[in-house]
Amino acid sequence: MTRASRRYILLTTTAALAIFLLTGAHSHGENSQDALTFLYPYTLPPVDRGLSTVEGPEPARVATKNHARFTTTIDRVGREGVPYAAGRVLVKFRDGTSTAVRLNSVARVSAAGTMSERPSYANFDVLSIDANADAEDVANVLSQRSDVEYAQPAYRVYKRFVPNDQFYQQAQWNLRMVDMERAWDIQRAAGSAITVAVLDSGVAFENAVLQFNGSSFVDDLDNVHAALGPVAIPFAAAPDLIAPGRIVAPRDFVFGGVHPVDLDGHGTHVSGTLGELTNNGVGLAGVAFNVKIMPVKVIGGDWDAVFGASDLGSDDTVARGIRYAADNGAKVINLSIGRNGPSAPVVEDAMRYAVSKGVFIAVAGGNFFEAGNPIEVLAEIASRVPGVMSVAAVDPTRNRAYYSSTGSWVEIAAPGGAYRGFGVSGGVFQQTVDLAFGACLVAPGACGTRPSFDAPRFDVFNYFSFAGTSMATPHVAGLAALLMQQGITDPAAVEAAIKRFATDLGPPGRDDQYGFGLIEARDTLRGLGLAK
Amino acid sequence: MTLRVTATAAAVVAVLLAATPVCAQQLRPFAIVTVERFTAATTFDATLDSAFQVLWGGGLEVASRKNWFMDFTVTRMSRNGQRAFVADDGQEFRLAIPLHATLTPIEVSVGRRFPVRRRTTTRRRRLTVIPFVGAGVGVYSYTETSDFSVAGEDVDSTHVGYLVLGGAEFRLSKWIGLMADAQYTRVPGIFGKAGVSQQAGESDLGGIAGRVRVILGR
Repeated sequence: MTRASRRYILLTTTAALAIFLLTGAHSHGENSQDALTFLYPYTLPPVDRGLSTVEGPEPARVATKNHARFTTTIDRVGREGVPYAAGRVLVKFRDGTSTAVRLNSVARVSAAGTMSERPSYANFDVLSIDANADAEDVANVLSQRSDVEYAQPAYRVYKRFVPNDQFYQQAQWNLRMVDMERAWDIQRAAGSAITVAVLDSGVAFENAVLQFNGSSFVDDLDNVHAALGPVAIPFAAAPDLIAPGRIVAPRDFVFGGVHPVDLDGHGTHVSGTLGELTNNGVGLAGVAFNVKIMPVKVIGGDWDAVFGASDLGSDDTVARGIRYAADNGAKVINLSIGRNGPSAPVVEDAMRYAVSKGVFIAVAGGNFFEAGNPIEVLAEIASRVPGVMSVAAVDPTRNRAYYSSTGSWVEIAAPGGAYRGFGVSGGVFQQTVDLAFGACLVAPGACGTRPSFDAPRFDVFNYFSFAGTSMATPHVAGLAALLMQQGITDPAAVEAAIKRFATDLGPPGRDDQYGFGLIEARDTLRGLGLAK
Repeated sequence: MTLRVTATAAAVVAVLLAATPVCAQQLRPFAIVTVERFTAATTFDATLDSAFQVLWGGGLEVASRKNWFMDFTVTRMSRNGQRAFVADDGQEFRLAIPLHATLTPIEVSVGRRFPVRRRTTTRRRRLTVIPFVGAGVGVYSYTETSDFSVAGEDVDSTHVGYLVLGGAEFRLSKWIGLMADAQYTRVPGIFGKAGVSQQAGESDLGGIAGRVRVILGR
């Protein structure tokens, strides 16, 4: 940590504490339903620490019409596989070449060749030739003439949307793997009319200060952590994820209330893959970067436990979250969560309810291949409900990620990343809260001279590499959002389309590792013509 | 490919014409409008809004005095639509990606006419009705272009198809006739390999057409 950043942290922490002390116990949260008391509008600017070079945790169960112009001329394909417009050659004659000489040159290379008036804003002429003629040959012959400076076919050019986000090229192999750049050429609007509910550990979506009286507690390993006393804990919206008007109907089913802030980092990371602000010159890109996001907190992490959450995620919070999202306008739900064990009829019931209301759901396929490969319960439900898809993970080489569970429930695959053999760059990068910054929550003594438990802050962000089917799932949710924007609104049809255009991996046809294959965003959004 | 087949068809016509004594021939040009219901109904519905499409064109009929005829017809359909996806339950979804399809049938048919003459009661003028039946072959050129296509993704395909037809000619005057017929075509080889047609299991670019011709000549 640099001196400057230490000074900044000290300053902001002091400011937060001062705010807390000034407002003290007399302050009231905006929403009395919240178990946690947030102070508004006291905000501090978020801290963006850039791209992390640290591997994330090993994958584990994540907690529980307007027609455009038509091209009527069929292209021909040149010797190097580059298509060009048939029947045209672009030629620049040397200065001073008379019209008669030009016409003579044209006649010598193509009997059917004609040259019309020079088009505007051109210092070259357009030669019309037989549409079946090889324009590259004609151009070559023309180029060898002394009166010609250059000649070439009219090679086709295409739109290419390559996001200008700072780390996109360096870090986001996952988006290129599923052909997102060409998909964005088709659907740049990226689902602005679509709301995607992220049912997870919350999302870093708002600026606030939490007043918290940290009392002593005992962790899972029976470590006794000393009381912190009253502390002010700053929160900030993830700067590369949240924009004005982006968040819709946030809801917290862990603490209750409407402030489902992310105390874990998982939900914010997942939301980033789904819809990180893109082409803003900052950080990274997201699949459906213009969707509205509905943060629904249905699961908690360690800090949620420290903060007194009584339920860190269970079938009922998930089922309620699904129903809440369906009733409040979500068109897609991302469930990067799961569990093993007995069946979950309450969740299945909720999923079927959501689908009946036109909601598509993407569910993580599970990370337990090397841990006995048990049935992933929520993913197994997905495989039986049209409109709900379970998602396996592939690594940067398109192979099944070593942790990705296999089974009859796997329906589709998407990039989930892997560190093994790839290092940190093999994971899926997104911005999320940097819980390792300025806080420590480990066994007493493991924090060096610091206490085992000190005040965390949720206003510091980093672009972290995570791996897991949790990371694969928002690729599918994002694609579903784009597809809905494109016109396929029936959840079962969305599922059918994603399967239909997937790139088959593994044994031909559906298999237990990849399902129907790796999602192919561009082909899925482009659909089919009559004959091709 | 298109040129080669067209040239072959033209040569066949020329040979047949040459084989018939000139005095026994009548050359009759015509203009034609065709409304065709394509067999690949799901494919056309999904992408071009309707399985019924209109083709315009013209042609030439060579008729012998022994009531044999040979028609040489060129028509064309050109339509804008959208790329689409057909769900497992048959529901069609259009994806707002512009698509342009053209179909150019070049057809040669031979057949026999069966003139029937009857006198009208209101006017003392004879209305001639000439039923006819025929069969033939065609060369069907199909192109399909879409936005966002790259090399190899557009379609330019030509295939031979087969047809049978039956109808009647109504003589409106000494030099003008009106012909109406129904034609069934079968055109394999273009549909069914990819696209919506493959998804829908439709491999025939033919269909049943109602055709109306205005023909010049006796």
